[in-house]
Amino acid sequence: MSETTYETIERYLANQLSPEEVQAFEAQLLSDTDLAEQLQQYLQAQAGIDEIGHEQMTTELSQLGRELIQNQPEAKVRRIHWGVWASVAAAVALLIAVALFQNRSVNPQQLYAAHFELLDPPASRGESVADDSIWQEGVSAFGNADYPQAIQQWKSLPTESYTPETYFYLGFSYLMDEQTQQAIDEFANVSAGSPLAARAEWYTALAYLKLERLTAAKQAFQAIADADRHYQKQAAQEVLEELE
Amino acid sequence: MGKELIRDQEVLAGIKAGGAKLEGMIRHVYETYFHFVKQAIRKHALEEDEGIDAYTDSVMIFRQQVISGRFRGESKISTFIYRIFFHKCIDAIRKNSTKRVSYEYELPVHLEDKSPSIARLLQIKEDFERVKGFLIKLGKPCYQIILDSGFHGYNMDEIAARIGFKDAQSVRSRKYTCMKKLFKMMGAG
Repeated sequence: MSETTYETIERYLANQLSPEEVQAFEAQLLSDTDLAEQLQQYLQAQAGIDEIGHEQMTTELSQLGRELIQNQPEAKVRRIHWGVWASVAAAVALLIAVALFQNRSVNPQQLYAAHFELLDPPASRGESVADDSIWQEGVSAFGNADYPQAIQQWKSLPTESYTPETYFYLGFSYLMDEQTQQAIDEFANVSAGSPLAARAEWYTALAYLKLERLTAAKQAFQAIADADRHYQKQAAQEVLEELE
Repeated sequence: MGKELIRDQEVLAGIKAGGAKLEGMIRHVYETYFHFVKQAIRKHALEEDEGIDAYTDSVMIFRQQVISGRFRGESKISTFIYRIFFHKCIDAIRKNSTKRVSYEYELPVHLEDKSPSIARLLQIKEDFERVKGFLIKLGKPCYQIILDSGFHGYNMDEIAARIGFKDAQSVRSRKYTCMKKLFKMMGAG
């Protein structure tokens, strides 16, 4: 490959040729098989360069990550009176006994994460509304995963205008913003006959898991598993098996 | 790069500029949002290595999306990286789960894997490994010139300063010689 050809290929792939030069180059590609092969060879080389560069950078960043983790400030150790140590030891022994009794090996947070699905922004509010701009602002924020902003927008709507969609996506936004109890409260407002009722039930059950309120979580998942038809019936049964 | 607040648009411009600016911005982004990893380790009981690997992959995907022009700041960088990282963590958790759940999760549409068939993938991987082997065989300074220019986006002046060459033209000529050697190896291999 001549130096001129090499530079032309480089400039072509970097979009640095003028429109006329591009036209001439592409016309030549059609008729000149050597040039076409050289372009292919360049692309193949570039792919290998990208791969090795990617590996190198990934290794460097991972190493940086390990350093950042190691540089976390250590927790301060305070001197504790001997009497307090005895109380702590007794409390720990009690906790171990309770845990053994319950034979609890499930990690609710892990279970939550394993079954949680991010949602796309809502397509509509379920019914046409004269002034929908605030709803749309919230939808846009939701789409950008800016959940606090979505909450702010939708909470500014008059409550009498709330639809099941409003309650549901508000609830979901609270869930994403770590305001889990508020999420549960909003999901509870989604009317039973609404198409979103089943989803609200599912995410309510997951929210109880997230809060580690296992009794409430089991009840919620059991209700879904016992339903005649529910889109998460099988998933609820699997969660219940994990919780047992 | 210190902990000063750098606006998203400045970060994107720095990444697109390539070279030292790109590296600096990627490092800045990596450090700025690293708290995602600590949260994930705590909340989802991930191993440290799993969290770091998921996060590193997420930042690398972000880098590629910016360079290719597919991400132009339509959302905040933090939320964009978080969405990718969230899916990667879910993937790690599901791999660890003793009871394998057969749900399929989906990356955001514009990040969907559009890979070809398995056979084609294996062929592509084999080609990559060949070229990687040749690049390593070329040794310095070819290896550094080619990577600095072809992957990291350093311009010729920056590369000249990095490897102690006289000027940009010297680097340009040397790069051509290195690439010719690489093409010859690829043709013979």
